[in-house]
Amino acid sequence: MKQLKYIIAIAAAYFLASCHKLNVPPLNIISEDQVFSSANGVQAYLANIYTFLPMEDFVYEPNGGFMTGNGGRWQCFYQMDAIDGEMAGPYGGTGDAAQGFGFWPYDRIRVINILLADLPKYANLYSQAQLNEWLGEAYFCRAYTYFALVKRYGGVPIVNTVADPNATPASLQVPRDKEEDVYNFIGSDFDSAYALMWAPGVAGNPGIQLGAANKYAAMAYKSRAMLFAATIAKYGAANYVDGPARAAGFVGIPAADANKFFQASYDAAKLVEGNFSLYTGGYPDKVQNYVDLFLKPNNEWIFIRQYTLSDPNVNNDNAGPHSWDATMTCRIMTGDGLSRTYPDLDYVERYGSLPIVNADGTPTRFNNLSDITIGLEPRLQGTIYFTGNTLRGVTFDQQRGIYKTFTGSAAQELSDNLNSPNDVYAQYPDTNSSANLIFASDPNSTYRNHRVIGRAGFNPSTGDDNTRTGFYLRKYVNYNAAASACGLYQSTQSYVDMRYAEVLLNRAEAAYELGMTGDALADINQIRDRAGAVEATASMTLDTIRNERDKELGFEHQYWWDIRRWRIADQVLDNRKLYGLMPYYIATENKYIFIKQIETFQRTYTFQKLWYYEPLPGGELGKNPNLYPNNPGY
Amino acid sequence: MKKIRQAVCTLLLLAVVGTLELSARGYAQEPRLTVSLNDVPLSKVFDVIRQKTNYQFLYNDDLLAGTPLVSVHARNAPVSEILSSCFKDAHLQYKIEDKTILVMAPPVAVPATAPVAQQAPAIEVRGVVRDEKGAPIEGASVVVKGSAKGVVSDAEGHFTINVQSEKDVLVFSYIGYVKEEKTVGASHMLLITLKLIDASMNDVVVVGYGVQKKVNVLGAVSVVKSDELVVTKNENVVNMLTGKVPGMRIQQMSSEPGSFNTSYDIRGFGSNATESPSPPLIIIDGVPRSSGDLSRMDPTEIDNISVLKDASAAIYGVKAANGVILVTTKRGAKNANGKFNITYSFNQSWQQFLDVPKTVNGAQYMTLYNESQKRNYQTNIVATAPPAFSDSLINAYATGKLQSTNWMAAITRKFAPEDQHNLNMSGGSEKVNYFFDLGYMSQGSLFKTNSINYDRWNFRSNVNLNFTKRLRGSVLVSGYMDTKNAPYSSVWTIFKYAENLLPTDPIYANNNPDYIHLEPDNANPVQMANSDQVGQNTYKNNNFQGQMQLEYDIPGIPGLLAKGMYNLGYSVSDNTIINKSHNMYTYDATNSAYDVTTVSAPSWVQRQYYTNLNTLMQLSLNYHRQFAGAHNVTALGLYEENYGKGDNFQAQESFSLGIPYLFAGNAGDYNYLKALQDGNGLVNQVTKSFIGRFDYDYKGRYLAEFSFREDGSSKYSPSGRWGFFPGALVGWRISQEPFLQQLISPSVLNNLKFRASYGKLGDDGALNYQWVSGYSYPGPGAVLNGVYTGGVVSQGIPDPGLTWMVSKTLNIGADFDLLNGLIGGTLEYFKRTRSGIPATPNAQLPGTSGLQPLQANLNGDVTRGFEITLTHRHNIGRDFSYNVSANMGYSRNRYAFQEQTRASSEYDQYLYSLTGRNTNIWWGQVAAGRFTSYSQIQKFNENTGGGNQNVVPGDYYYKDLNHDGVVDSKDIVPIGIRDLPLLNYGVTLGASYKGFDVSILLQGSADFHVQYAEQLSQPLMYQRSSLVEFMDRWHTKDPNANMFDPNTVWVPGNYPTTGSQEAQGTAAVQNASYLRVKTLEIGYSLSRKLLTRVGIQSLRIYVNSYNLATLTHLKYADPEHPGQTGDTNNGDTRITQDWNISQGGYLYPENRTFSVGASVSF
Repeated sequence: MKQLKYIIAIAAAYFLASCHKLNVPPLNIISEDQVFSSANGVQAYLANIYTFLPMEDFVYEPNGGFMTGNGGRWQCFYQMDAIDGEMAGPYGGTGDAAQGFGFWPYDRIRVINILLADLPKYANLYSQAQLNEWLGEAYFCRAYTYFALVKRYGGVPIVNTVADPNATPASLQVPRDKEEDVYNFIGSDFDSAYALMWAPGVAGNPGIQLGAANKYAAMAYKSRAMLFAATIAKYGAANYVDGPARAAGFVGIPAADANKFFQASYDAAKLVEGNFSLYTGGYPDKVQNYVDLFLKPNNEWIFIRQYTLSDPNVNNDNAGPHSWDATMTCRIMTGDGLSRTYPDLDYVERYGSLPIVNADGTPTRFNNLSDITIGLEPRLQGTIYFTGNTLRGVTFDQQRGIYKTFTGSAAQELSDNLNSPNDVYAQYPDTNSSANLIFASDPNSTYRNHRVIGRAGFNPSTGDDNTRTGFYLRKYVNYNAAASACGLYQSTQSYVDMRYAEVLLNRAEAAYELGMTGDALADINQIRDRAGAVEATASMTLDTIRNERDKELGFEHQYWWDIRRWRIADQVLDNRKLYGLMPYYIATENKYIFIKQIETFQRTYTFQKLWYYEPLPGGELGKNPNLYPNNPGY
Repeated sequence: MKKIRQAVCTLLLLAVVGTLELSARGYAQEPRLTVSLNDVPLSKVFDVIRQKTNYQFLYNDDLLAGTPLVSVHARNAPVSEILSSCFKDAHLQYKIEDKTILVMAPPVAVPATAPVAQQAPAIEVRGVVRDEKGAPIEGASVVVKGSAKGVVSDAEGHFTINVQSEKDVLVFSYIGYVKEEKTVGASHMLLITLKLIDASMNDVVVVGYGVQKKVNVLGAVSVVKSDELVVTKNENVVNMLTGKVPGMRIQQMSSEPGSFNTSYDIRGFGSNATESPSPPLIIIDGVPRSSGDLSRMDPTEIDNISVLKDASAAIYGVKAANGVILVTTKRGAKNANGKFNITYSFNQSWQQFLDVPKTVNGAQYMTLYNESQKRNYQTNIVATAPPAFSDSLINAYATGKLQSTNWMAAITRKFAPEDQHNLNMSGGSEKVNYFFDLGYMSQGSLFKTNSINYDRWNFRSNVNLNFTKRLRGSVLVSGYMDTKNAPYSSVWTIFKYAENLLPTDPIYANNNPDYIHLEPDNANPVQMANSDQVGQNTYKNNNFQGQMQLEYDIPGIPGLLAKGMYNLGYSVSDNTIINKSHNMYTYDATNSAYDVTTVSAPSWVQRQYYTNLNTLMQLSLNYHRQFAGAHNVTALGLYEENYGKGDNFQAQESFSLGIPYLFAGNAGDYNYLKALQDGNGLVNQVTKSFIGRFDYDYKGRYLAEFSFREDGSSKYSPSGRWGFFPGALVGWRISQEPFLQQLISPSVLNNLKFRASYGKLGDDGALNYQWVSGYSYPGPGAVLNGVYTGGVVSQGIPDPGLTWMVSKTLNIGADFDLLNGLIGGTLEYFKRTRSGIPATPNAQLPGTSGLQPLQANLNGDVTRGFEITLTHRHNIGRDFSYNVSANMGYSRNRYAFQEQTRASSEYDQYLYSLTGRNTNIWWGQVAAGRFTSYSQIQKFNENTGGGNQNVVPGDYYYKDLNHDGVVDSKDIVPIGIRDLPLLNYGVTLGASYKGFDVSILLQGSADFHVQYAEQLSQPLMYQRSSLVEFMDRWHTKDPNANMFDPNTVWVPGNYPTTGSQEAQGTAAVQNASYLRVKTLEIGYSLSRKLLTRVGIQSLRIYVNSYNLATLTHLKYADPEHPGQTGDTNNGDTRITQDWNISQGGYLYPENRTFSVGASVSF
């Protein structure tokens, strides 16, 4: 059997080469036990909750939802302020935004509920304070998430337990809860968070962890949520669309409960006092102070979201860079991107009218474009880039065109020429034309050695990336970054979701509604003092407080919710057109004038009453008949 | 002749162990031996002789069928004596030649040496017997019809025979050739050409884990041989299969070098273009490989490709549901005198690009722009707007006073080169045979910069060894290395901007070539297509495969063979992504300055490294035996173990010194410093399988096969990781039935076979450890106190019962061959029923539960279709031969069950419900026509939106199918078939005349529609430029006329007026059916006589074209160029808008190539 040697050799070779077992565990899956048994594991669990917290930050799209991962995260101009007329932008109808995007984050609520249910089982591994802090963070995040739901839909099912995966679908068909009950639940969760969490920096406690919740943040948000409930109770009683959902209390809160919620809001706001303060580190320059408030970490920031260029999960989470710088100013000041939304004159006029028309109706002549900012409130200058401001070494020169000569009044000119909505297209550099008013699409076009349009000016032929209103937004724009570092996905300034100024404004509004005018006046004047504005007097009205809120929190994605909860959106946005401030050069006079005109997107904004609530997601109604009735009007 | 026969026999042996038997040994003199056997089959005697001597036997099994049992008793007798005694009653003839005993067909009744009957006067007839190629046939029998008289032709094919009369008829015959009869005639000289009996009858076909004689194959198996494959010249082996395999759908989406962007599937089962369901299983030399590996093979190394389409694939078990493509590489051939062949071939191609979009010039752009502005109802009725561009300006561009920019022309060239070189050596001897192959190819791109380019090296060494007469082995070593370079800017964006940038914009600021002009989105195609400016992506693949196989004839049990095989595969993908920051400029005429803007800053480099190791071990026992001369039994038992391990990492750093390497990065810049690993690329998997097959046939008439596979995989939970996949096949070769042979002569009906197969197959492509619950880390996280904290993420709620999807395949087929190849064909019908298609079971689960269930086996579908193949082969005279082969396949897929959330209305139910509905339906409105005049618009009684105020002549109107008085999105109905054609066909025509040969492959598809998006669908998209086709549009005769004035005179065109609503539904969806000349090759082989003088064996030169011409209704686009994929509105959850398929229509175009080439053998 000399062949035996071959057989042995073959057999040996194969058995050496193969001794794999089928039980090969996957290399990248860890158990819940491993997660909750280490402090780093719990931190990682919470980090995942924070990144998906429904925060309306730089990249939130009112009709697209909360953007995670790169992709939608560059389109910062698809933003809330462009659907409610605070800014002018080409995209996003008010109705599309008002009817929502099927937001239904119960998967995230389940993640939070798991922590609340299971983490206490590991209590022996941690100090009581540490355990409570984490549980407090979870309560905070759950309340935060429910608030994002209730302000859209009214009453939604309150789920505070972990559903059994083996339950039948029918047993999981939970009914809606009343809107008021949801607010009460939110208030109680914020209270739990407040009770459980340690006071940061006090008695050896760790300081505030930027990006995470803290004890006083719970109260700050409670003041926001309770104020929301209170105004709905008060103003929703008068202005509503009726339907079965309202009758059942799924939407709407009894007016009688308004004061209860105002009081809750006031009390919560008062608890924050002394723990946070308005930023004044940039004094005496109140303009620069206001600009830096949004860019430099300070004691006004209560809850923020941070971003990093080195996010390894940039395609999946909310920690990667955004594109605020690339999409808020014009291309000549950035490395990439395009701006498409611009503050409108309506916002600017909240501070009073600009001195652009003389008593006789003729436009005021300016020697320089930058003269328009003389005497403006520092907060306004810190919020908006006006013609003549400078950013990254480039001057804003949003000149719209040249008048060879100009006679008569601004009003006459508007009715003769500028109110025609087509002038935006009459654009090509035809500087030899006999027209008196010259436009161009090329900033290199000149008339008598003077640019026809500014480089930051109106340039419709290249799309939307130059202003349509005469303004650019200044809030949050990182003036320190080099232009080449202001490309898409290159901005990492934090989003300040809750700052102390809002707590003061919440408190002022609640106090005023409760009749505590003195408290309200003191709060407003704190804000005004920091803004560099004239102090308010005891004769102030509710409108003063609301206007102050609009000015202070402008472009911070609050206005949309404010006009909804005040139930004034249907009046404010009633076939509303927006205005811009258009600078022109008068060649014969070598002077500039500004004319108030409809912005050149020519957008019209209308809000229907039924939009005070979003419709429940259709797919969910299909899966759970107990969610009916849908909100009124849908 | 003899050598060729031997070579053929050797190959057959390698392929069909046991069907044709051959045992080789060398011996100088006729040996003597002692034998004592009683009543045994002849084959037993042969076995004994073979064992005791070194003689080899050469015979066909069929010959021995029905021979009587023999008894032999010899002592030290010469072999010939023993044989003679055995053959006494066997009606067989034998001949000892070299060391081979040839057993031949029933001989003429009387041996050639028999005495000639004493009748006078005899006529001496002389002649030559040759084959179709003119080579002499030695040993052909020449018999006088009706007598016992006969002779055999000599080595030159000459014969001499005496006959009685000129009217006598001579019968010529030779094994494997068609019998020929000829009357002597007056000349007494005869030239006889014998035709081969349809050689395909004896072909063998590679099937799962073995080979089968073609006539015995019971499954739906299509074969493409080397010479059929290489006639199409392409860089991608898959493209070379187009039109050649019935039932295989192949669509080349783009000809981008190195992208291998071809989508294919078998019978519409599962395509390589989508990850789920999984693509056809690719097996190269017995080893599962990737689709990319198949694409990257050197065509010269391929011997044949078998495509298993039905239950014949069941032997591949859990991976077989979408069919199997089996590739077998070439082996060396035994060469008696140890001679070897060296063949060098090269192919030089020039690529031309099909349907590259053409853009408008400045004057055209301005005309269209002004029109779109006038078309705006609001601006035109409320206040008449002056045109944006004045006539004088348009005129300045039209007359050339101002220069338009043609962006596309600025970056593309008309022709791009592509070349292939191949050197191979093959040869063999008794002990060893070998095949070495070295291939190189390179392909350039249509960009003037050639910034996209590709090259590849292939290497292969296949060695077969005969260690002893029982032990054989083979060592197969192969590998490839390839490199694709591309600019950092994605290719589709280069096309997008070349199509949509304004022709009035300059390429360079102030027309100074040193200053790239700043364009919107920082996108200047001239810069983007230049790697030197924007950076470069380099993708390298290195793949190595080493395989050892041993087979051993187990003594004691005739027909039993043990085999062992071990394969090790290792691959590395090594990518370098370099993003370079670059400058763009605008010219500031006021200050005569160039304003710079730096974009894509900072520069960074990323390295990506992926490794994969796969080992495959197979141990098997094979058995083949014939019993009682009629019962043929083949059996296989095999154990297989597969191990796969994958790992990867990526690193990134910014750099500022201009050296794009990690070592020279900006160490302090943590923002761009990344070290990553793809958790999903971290693979560790084991599969084990027990495989069996049992074949039985009775006299080749009744055939049956049963196969099974028991698959176990580490991907599943321990309780459900094993699956059993059986397949059964039966056949009836009715042409072998004596009753039919009496009715129709076997020389007319060579073959007729009916067959059916049914099997259960699996598809586990979509699954990966989904039964494990737990958390993955690091998942999405947040920045806390400035530090990124990775999150842990729940894997979701697993369904512990989750398993592979099961598909049950029925196939019914018939094969026929008539008149020795004049007509042949195959018909197939199939039905595949699939169940357990994984889907997320959240359709009924309320969202408030928060449960994120993982997939469960929920859905099902059914695919039906048929295939037809027809062949025709004919020779006219000695010099001209031709063949035609046509095939067609049709396949339709239907949802059998689809889990869905309840629709909220009956209408939605109709629209969105998928259960019972065909897949790949295109929904849309039905265009009823277009308005041609104002009076028509005024009389139109349906509302197309806005009360028809904003409608002008040239606009489409659509049918109000739901009769609600409004034409809107609710009027959609199925209007077409999308994504992949239902019907695919190919026709191959081949002809040769003397040294010339011609091949034509016509290939086409039908029943398939496309709709293009973005720039291809409308002018002035995104307020940018337009393609020239949109100039053919409805417009007013007077450019300045008011479009809404009823008296305006219109000029009709193909498209609606610029600024009108984009065409919808049937007005936009186009039939993309096409027929194209996929391949045309004309070759010439130089005469052998000429060549042998210079030591060359053969030399062939050719010209070739790929995609020479196309017949289609489609305008401005290539039919294979994909349009929009699925319409999400129809609720089709399985096929959704996949940007990567068509990339918005900006995919790199198809190509046409013209090639010249030659192959020379020494």
